[in-house]
Amino acid sequence: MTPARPEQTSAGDRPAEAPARPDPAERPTHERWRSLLVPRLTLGHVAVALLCAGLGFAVVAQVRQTQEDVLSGMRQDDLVRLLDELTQRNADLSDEQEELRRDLAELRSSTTSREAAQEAAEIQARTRGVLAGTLPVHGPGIRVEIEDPGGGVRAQVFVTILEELRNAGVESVELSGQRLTASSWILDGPDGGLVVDGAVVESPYEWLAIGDPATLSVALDIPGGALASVRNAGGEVTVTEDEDVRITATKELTEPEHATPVPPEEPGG
Amino acid sequence: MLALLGLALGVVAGVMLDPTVPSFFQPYLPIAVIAALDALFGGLRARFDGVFNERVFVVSFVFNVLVAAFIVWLGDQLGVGTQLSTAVVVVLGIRIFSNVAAIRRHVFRA
Repeated sequence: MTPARPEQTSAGDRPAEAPARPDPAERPTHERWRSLLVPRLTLGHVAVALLCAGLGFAVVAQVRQTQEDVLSGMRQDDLVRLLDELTQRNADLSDEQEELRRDLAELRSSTTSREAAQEAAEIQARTRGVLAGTLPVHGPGIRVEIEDPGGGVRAQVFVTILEELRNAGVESVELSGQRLTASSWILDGPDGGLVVDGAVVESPYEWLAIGDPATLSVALDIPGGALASVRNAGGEVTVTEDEDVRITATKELTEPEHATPVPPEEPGG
Repeated sequence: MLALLGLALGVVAGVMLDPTVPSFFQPYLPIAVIAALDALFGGLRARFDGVFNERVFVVSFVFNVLVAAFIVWLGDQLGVGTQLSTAVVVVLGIRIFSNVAAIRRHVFRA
């Protein structure tokens, strides 16, 4: 195997047309290379050439085969194993697909229910905003102007008007720029006039009320009712029905200090 | 020279004819090709060592191919065809490497 080893020679191997060659051990390699390329037509060489041709042919055939189809060159057990693996993998992927599909459906339904809840919450917030007086509102209603230059109309009369409006189903009320809600109060002012929710208002007073205009005006105008007592006290009243009353005054809500909501009862608890 | 010519001729014939390997030979052909390559490199090395003999080469070539195919066939019958063909490829690959190393020493003297 090592080049230092003395080379063994065989007689049949040496080319006949190089008789003047020195000792074969000292032959330079390039001469041996050249001797490889000299054609010699003996039976043995033809056989070698034939075998080499067969080898080249087989190599090309095998390469073609491999490139053509990887599976066709495989053994039966390998194919069976491959098929098993594929089936297993297929089942795994099917499971995963089903799981993902279930997740997707869950996510979709939760999105839908969350959207519905949000919509309901928005409607609730709108309703409560109107009721609590935190939102500007508009709609059909009446306008009541009260002139009281003499100062004879007292707070009690105004409270009566508010009660009548509420009885007639008013939804939103404003008195001279003050939004009236469930917690509003009206007092006589120290120098005549009124104090409404802490703000001083004076004549002429203007009520804005949103509700069914006919019902509201009839409710105020019944004999011996609210408007009659204003007139009795020396005030002048004008009632106008309006298709679009705008109540722009709003009220700031304060956080309840003592009352907290009762949690909903748990089922079975 | 003739051997080189034969090799080139075989490659050209393979390319031209585009042969289909019969399904019976399909597992054995790659092993047979490896065995033949081993014989070819062995012959080349013997040529450089000055001990080349056509008869030895032809016999070893044919015998290598047949034995390799037989081993794989036997492995298939025993149910260890894949492993045995791997073993044959490993052994032949080692032999090819050592033969090529010997040739390299002759050619490059290194």
